[in-house]
Amino acid sequence: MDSKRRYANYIWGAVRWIDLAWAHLLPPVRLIILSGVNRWGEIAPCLDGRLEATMGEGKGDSEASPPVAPPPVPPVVASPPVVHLATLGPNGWVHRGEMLTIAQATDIRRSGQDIVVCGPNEAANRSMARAIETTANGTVVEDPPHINAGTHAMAHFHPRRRTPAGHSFFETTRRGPFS
Amino acid sequence: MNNVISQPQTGMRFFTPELYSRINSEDDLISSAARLEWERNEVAYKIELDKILILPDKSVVALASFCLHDCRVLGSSYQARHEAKYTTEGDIADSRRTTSRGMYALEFGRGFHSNRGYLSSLIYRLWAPVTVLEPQEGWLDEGPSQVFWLYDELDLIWLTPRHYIHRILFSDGTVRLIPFRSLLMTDGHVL
Repeated sequence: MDSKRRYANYIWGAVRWIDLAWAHLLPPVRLIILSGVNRWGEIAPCLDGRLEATMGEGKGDSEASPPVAPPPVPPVVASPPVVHLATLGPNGWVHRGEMLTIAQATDIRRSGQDIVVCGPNEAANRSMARAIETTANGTVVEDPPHINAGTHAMAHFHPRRRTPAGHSFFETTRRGPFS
Repeated sequence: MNNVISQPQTGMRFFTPELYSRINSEDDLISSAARLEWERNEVAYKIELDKILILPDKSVVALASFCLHDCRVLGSSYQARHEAKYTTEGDIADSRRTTSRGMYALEFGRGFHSNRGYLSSLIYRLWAPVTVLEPQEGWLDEGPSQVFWLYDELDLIWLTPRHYIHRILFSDGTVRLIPFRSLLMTDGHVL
């Protein structure tokens, strides 16, 4: 009986040490891994190096680095957002289809299909997606990407009452559709 | 060594109602900053979730990867040892009167207007009472008649024996904290 209790204590101690290691030691390691590779084993293009850059913003405070001249800023060319038909793929991917006019996009949203607004200007994309959704379906809400939809899920608008189905996705600086 | 991994009685830790409200702001700058914060929180939550995904509780792991976003809440029910009480869709608030050691169920549906409708149920075995946090001030008024699942977080509170907490943000702005030990999940298509 004593030996059984002793073995049980050994196992209990081991479980607690694993628990401690998992809770306190492994998260930084997993953070490094997850910043480049998601839990499905794919390279995460949604991060695309930008998230690592933002997470390491305060890193250089203690290191003295020589001043470097900023690179020349290319002239900004204003290009309006473009609307495409969208289909949903695995792992949250939004596939970009044929190009649409605003009127076509509104009709497509009324029928419950998906659209995606693409372009380099995130604010313009958002405004256009919201305008199309509002024209088509009235009061709308914006949903950020949800984790269970997949790594590549995009921000979108949809009707407040969730009918008709479908979404008005829009491209951001970090997440875009699959061409 | 303390076996407690997380603090149970807090609201949403990553996908907070306040952050969701900021994303829906009319101001593009506020919304853009909130979206970046949301994506950072998503990475942080994935790290937390990895603690759960390695555990042998298959139903909990399945729940962690199951998407209930935008599902409509059809009802909730609670059963104590000697009493059964069913609350309907318009009476969800009654389900906050739960005690520990009972069973708690939530029913969801989606796509009834099309041919792809399905029903889902989550049945929890509780270790503490279910808590419903009221919506914060300034929450988007989505109407009380239809409540939808927005975002959820799974949290491991105790490792041995395992105690979890499921935090769910609904479209009416309430956050439901469901402390559970085990879970049964059903999912079926409606013909």
